[in-house]
Amino acid sequence: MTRTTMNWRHVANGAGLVVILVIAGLVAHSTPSIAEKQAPIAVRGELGEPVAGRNILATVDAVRVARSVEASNGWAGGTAGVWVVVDVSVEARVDGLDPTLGYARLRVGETTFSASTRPGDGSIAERGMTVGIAWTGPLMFELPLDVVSSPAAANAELQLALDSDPRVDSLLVIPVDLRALDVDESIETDRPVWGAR
Amino acid sequence: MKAWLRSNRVGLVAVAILLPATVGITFANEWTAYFGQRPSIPVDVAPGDEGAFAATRWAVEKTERIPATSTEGDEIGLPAGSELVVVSVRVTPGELDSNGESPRCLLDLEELDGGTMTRGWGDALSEPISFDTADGAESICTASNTEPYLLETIFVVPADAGDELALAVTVVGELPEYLRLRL
Repeated sequence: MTRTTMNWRHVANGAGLVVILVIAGLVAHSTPSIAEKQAPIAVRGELGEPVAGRNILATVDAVRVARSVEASNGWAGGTAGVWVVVDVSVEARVDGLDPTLGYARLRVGETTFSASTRPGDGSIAERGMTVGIAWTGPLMFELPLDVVSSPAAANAELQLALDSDPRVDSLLVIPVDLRALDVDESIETDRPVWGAR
Repeated sequence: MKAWLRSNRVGLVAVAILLPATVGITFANEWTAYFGQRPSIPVDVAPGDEGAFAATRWAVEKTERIPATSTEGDEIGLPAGSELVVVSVRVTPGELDSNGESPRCLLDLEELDGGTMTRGWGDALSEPISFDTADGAESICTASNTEPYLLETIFVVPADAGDELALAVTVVGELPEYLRLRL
């Protein structure tokens, strides 16, 4: 073997090593993190339209904003901010082994607000769900007034999922323009109803 | 190139065998553990037959579907568009455990399509309806019952639930097997 051939072989080996390192770097850089691998699978929908995930089906009928709320069970919620009331119909689709509406959140910008459980059975937050039989009723979110009038409120998102941890499962996402809504003085909500409408 | 392949053939063959084997064994371990912890292997019992499971004999005595639109359904307070499925099972405990108890169990209703589960429901014991269990019947598997007893369980299902239904009886100690009593 000549000296020239030996030199070319060294160059080829070096180039091969560089290619392998570049590929390894790309793979390492593009591999999803654990949080990304376990992230909820967003299913985007629209107000008034049924939105279906793996084990959840929901229709958001209306979104209202008021300074105070009176629930069907007599609970009255005064607040220094405002109440965002979401009238929604939710059911499970496949697996009925104790699912609950455990994840009902309103995201405004980088801030996320959970549906209040203070109204008790006047709301369907954390209500047990049945496959094929919907619960229809209100969800109530307590927000600071300046959040509802902030620019981010125009692109707010309602997020719904069964159980409290939506990772590796469907997360329904419905955009809501909170800035376009009038702020009522008071709202009376309907009694949650179980069954076909 | 041919010379390189020939001189490295042992290593190449080893990689060709060990790489897929490693991936396969890893997947098999993960899936075995996943399915081993949940009711994934049904032990089917035909309608009207008696099944032996968890050292106990199980036989469906009666199945009833009560529509929400019926007078009885209205009295029970069933939600619109639903039916109540009432399943009565004769349970005959056999060999008891070291504490002298019969097996505890979880009861679910499965809707099947050609033997494959399409939808499932947990029991409706905590749902807002007014249904009285038959006199002398239990509504859950009761470990202290060492003599034969009648188990009556209820499920609220949508009216479009199919006719191919099965009662799934899960006993933790028997996982991943579970009893599937066809109704």
